[in-house]
Formats: sequence, structure tokens, C-alpha cells
Amino acid sequence: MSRRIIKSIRARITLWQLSILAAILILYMLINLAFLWHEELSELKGGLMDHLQLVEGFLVVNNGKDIVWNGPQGFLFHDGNQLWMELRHLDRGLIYTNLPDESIHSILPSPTRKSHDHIFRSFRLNDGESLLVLQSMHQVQGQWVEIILGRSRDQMATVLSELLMIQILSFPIVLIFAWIGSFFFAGRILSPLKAIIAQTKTISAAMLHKRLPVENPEDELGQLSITFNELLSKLDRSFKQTRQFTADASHELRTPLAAIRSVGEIALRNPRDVGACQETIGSMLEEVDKLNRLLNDLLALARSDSGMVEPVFELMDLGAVVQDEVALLKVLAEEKRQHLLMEIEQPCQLRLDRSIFRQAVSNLLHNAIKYTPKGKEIHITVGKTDEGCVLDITDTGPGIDPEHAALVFDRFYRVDRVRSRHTGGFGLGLAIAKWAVEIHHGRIELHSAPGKGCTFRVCLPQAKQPKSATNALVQGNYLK
Amino acid sequence: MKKILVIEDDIKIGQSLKQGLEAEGYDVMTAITGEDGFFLISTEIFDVVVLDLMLPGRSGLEILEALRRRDSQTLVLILSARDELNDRIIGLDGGADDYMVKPFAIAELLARIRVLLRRGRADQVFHLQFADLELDLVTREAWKAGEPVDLTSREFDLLAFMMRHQGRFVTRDMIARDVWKEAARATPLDNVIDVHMARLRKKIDQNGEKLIHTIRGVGFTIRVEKS
Repeated sequence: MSRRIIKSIRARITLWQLSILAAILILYMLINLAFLWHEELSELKGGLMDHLQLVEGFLVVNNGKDIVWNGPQGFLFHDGNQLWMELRHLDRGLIYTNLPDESIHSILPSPTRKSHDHIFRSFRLNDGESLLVLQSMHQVQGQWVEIILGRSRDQMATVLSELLMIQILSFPIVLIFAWIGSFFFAGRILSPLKAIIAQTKTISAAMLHKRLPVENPEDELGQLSITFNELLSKLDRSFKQTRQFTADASHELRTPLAAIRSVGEIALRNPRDVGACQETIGSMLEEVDKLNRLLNDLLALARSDSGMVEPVFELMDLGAVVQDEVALLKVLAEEKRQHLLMEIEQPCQLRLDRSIFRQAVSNLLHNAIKYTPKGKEIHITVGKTDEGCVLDITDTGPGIDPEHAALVFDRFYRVDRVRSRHTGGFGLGLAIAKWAVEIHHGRIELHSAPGKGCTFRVCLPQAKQPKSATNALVQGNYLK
Repeated sequence: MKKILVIEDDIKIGQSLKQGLEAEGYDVMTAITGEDGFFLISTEIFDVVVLDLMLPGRSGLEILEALRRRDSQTLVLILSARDELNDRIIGLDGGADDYMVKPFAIAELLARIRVLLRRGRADQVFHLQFADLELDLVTREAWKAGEPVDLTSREFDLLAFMMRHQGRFVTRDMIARDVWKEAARATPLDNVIDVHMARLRKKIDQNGEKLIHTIRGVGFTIRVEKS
């Protein structure tokens, strides 16, 4: 809830800092007071102990049997307080006292055993004065005397309460200064964030080339800017691709439309015989067919982009799938007297969506047949690596320049536009192949050099041994 | 004469469907709104209804539902511009007998209607004949003018498919689906079909009159040219 109430990070940082500071201060004050209290108390005790020896020295035996007080009427401490004392013979009663009106002895518990123990107690006089009392037993020539010494604690209480007052009064002042400092520094630290926000606001779809300033690449805000810039680069790239795609798609769609239109207009211009009309109409229908196929391809890609395709994976043999496709397209190679040489180095089982994966193989094979000259060879190899299954399709065509190699999987990309149009491709085959491989979590690579042909390598992660199948087997045995 | 109702809001498509179907010898009525179509199916009985799904007034599915509530005899072929699997399932679940996506080839629509009308009747043909061509569908042998012709399995299927549709057009889509049994037609497959067709043609049309004809932009037909 507090997060919603306090909106700015700056205020939240300040509040957190102040809370922590206040907690530390309170703790510090408590420790301080406890320490001081302890110190004062031990000093009071020390004073009493010192005087105990003094008092003991003034206790003398008179006439050989009575113990009497031979000292002054009283002692003063350094702080000006008086030493209260009450001396009492254990059997015969009071020897001496300088207490104003009352006997401490009557309130304190009587010593139970005769020993030299010292017991400190607190005691409050009738007039409200608080005393620290030392109770002790002393032996004078075989007779026991109870010595009770008292000392005012009021001074110590005053010191402590004064200190407490000072601390309580200074507490809010310290907090106010801390608040000002903290608020100021939080603002300083967060100021690059404000700059980032202001900059980001100026970036729009049309201005995606803009980048955020990076003040310090080491700190978190610098990292934020760098990350943001990377995101912008990706967005920029995909925006450019989309724009390029739209331009290419509309171009590809317009071309058959233009053909239909011009063929129709020319046919209408002059009266013609039935044969010529049929020729015109046939030509128009061909373009319609082309448009339709292009639309289907575009639709398939759009569906894959929007993640609407849900593949159904089944365990199958890669070699067998490729073999089927080779058998299907073999006639195309035969027409060009090419040799399709298929080799299965190692059989490889994996989980595939057959109908989707076939599109990849079919497009790659068709591509290889298209670019391999008559009478040459095409190698198709299925193998296995540590990662999984590998399918290589190597043609002996002209090869592809490195500058084109990165682009061949782009939509509508054609190395040789004129020639490709003649052979009826849209430049979508490899884009579809790439998608079909990637939906299987695999990747597709092109290794090529001009004049050396191309190798399209499809790497697919190996199917893990399906657990469910093993389980079923185990369960099956179990049921028997 | 079989009665067919075409419910299609695009007037051009409706008209060409009417002409195409009439040329095949059907009695055709057309409706261009859902309301008109609904009125017609409520008042008359048709053998086949060709139904567009997106109609003004009443949707095609509503009409299908109303039709199925009273009558399960009429065959329904749905036309739709949306090629979503979901639409297909809804249409077929709603009681449609077949489903076609626009743009479609009239040749294919005619073929599908023929298949629909033939369905239920025993279609046990073991022997096909056209001009001087003969096919034995059981032994898978072919003869041309009495001489055996050596055909591959694919070529045999291709020829048999065209002879079943003799005198009419077959499109590459139909061939891909019915001969190659492929759900989707792609550029590589088109080329494969063309190669097989060329080889078949070489074997059949050799030193004789031309029987297999390419119809530009539509597909193929097997017919005797009237000269």
C-alpha cells in the first residue's frame, strides 16, 4: 500500500533512509544510557566500598567489651553528598547512626549469616531521596557489627535524565538534517533517470535511430541506458524489416495485378478471335494463381509470426522423412539429369511435426535442384552429432557471396531477382524453411563460397528418450 | 435435373457459379442476401446448396442451422474467404458436407458437387475408357489403341484421375490433393506435377492425336479436340 501512496522513488529512498537512521539513533541512545547508568552505578558502589574500610577503622572497643563509634559525625563524598551510616551491634543494638529520622535496619532484611559479604540495595527515604545502600557485617574482636552505609542516587538520576532530554531534543533536529541531505542526494543520484525519461519521450516509431546518453557505463543507470539502447536497436531493426517486408509484399502483390490489368486492357482494345481471347484469359488466370499462392505463403508466415501454429511432435526417423521428400522431388532432378545422392551416415530419431518439417526439406531440396546446373550432383546427408541430428543439403551450384549469405533467409530476398522471377519463386522458400526448422528448436546455416556451391545445414536437437513411453512399459509389466 | 441453390453476396461470383453449374446441366437458382436464401430454402427443396458464410442479413451458419433443423437430405457446400481451421470445423460440424476456401477454381467446385451427388451411390468402377485409352483399375494396366502402355504408379493414378473427370478441367490443387494426397500445395509440388504430366503426355500422346491439354491458368483436361 505504501508503495502506491508514495509515488516517487526519491521520496521512497528518503523515507527508507530516515527510518533506518532513526532506528540506529534510538538504538545508539539506549546503549549510551545503559552504559552511562552502569558507569555511574559502579562509581557509587566504589565510593561506598572505600568508605566501608574507613568506617570499619573507626569502630573501636571501649573498656575492653563495648564497641563504640570513634569517628566524626559524618563523611562527605566528592559530589557533596553525605555518607549515611547506621552501625548496629548484632546483639546489643544500635551503636551509631546519622540518618535523620528513621532506621534503615528495620526495613532491610537482617543478615542471615555472619560473614563479610557486601550487599548493595536501593532504598528510598521518606522525603523521597533515593539511596544506594551497602549492607555488610564486620567483626571487631570476636563481636559482629552490622554496617549499613547509604549514599544519595539523585545526582546520578539527574545526569541520566539530562542526557536523555538532550538526546530526545536533538533527535528530530538530526532527522531533519538527514532528511534534507538524503532528499538532495537521492535527487542527485536519480537525475540521470529523469534525463532517460525525457529522452525516451522523444523517441517514437519514426525516431528509432535515436539512442539514450550513457553517463557511466559501469553503474546501474548506465546499464539501464545500455539495455534500453540495445532494445531500441532491436526494435529499429525489426521495424526496418517490417517496413521492408511490407514494401516487398506489396511489390510482389502488385506485379501480378499489373500483369492482369495490362493483359486485360490490351485484349479489350482490339477485337480478337476466340483463341486470342482464351490466351488472354489463361494468362490472367495464371497471374491469379500466382497471387493466390503468394497469399497462402504470406498467410503461413503471418500465422507463424503470431504464434498461431501449434506443432504436433511425434518421434520419427529423420532419414525416412528426408527420403520421402527426396522421392517426391526426384523427378525434378531427373529432368535436369542431376544426381540426388542421399546418404544416411547414422540414423537419427527425433520428435518432428512431419507436415511442418517437410516444408523445410522440400524448400531446401527444391532450391538445390533449381540452382544446380544440369548433370551435376546434389548431396543429401543425414548424420548425428553430440547436439542432435544434422541434415546437410549440398548443391554444386554457383554458390552465394558472403554478403548475400546472411540475407538469404530474409523474406522476399533473392540473390538474382531476374532469374528467380523467371523460375517462379517469390523468395519466401528459405524464409519458410527457416521458420519450419526453428519451430523444432533447431537452426539452419548456410556454408558457401562463390563457385563452390552451397551447403544448407539443418541442426535439430536430439529427441530425448520419451519418458512417458518408458513409464508405460514399466507400468505394463507391472500390471501383468 | 438436380436443383442447386447458390447463396452468394458477390454478384460476379454468383453469376459465374450459375453459368458454370448450368453448363454442367444443373437447374440453378441464386440468392444474394441471407434473407433471400433463407426464404428460398424454406419454400423449395434443393439437392445442393452452395453457401457463402459471410452474408449480409443472415449468416451462412444460421441458414445452415435452419436448413439442418428440418431437412437432412440437402447437400451443403460452404464457401468461405477465411481459411481458418476453426471455421472449417464449425462449418462441417454444423452439418455442411464440404468446405471450400476462396478463391477457388470453378472446375474444382464442379468436381466436388459431382462427388457430393454421387456419394452414397456405389461408385464401383473397375474399368475406365476414354477415346482409345483403356485402364484396368484392378490390375493397374493401361492400353492405348489396344497396345499396352508402360506407366509408373504415379502416372497411372494421374491418368485415372483425369479420365474420371474426362471432358472437364482438373486443377493442380485437385491433383495435389487427390493424386498426391497432399493437404497443401506448394511451389515444389507444382513443378513435380508438371514433370509427371509431361512424362505421361509423352507416353499417351505419342504418334496419335493430342488427348491431354493444358488449360493455362486453370489446369489440365483430357478431351478429344474437335477439329
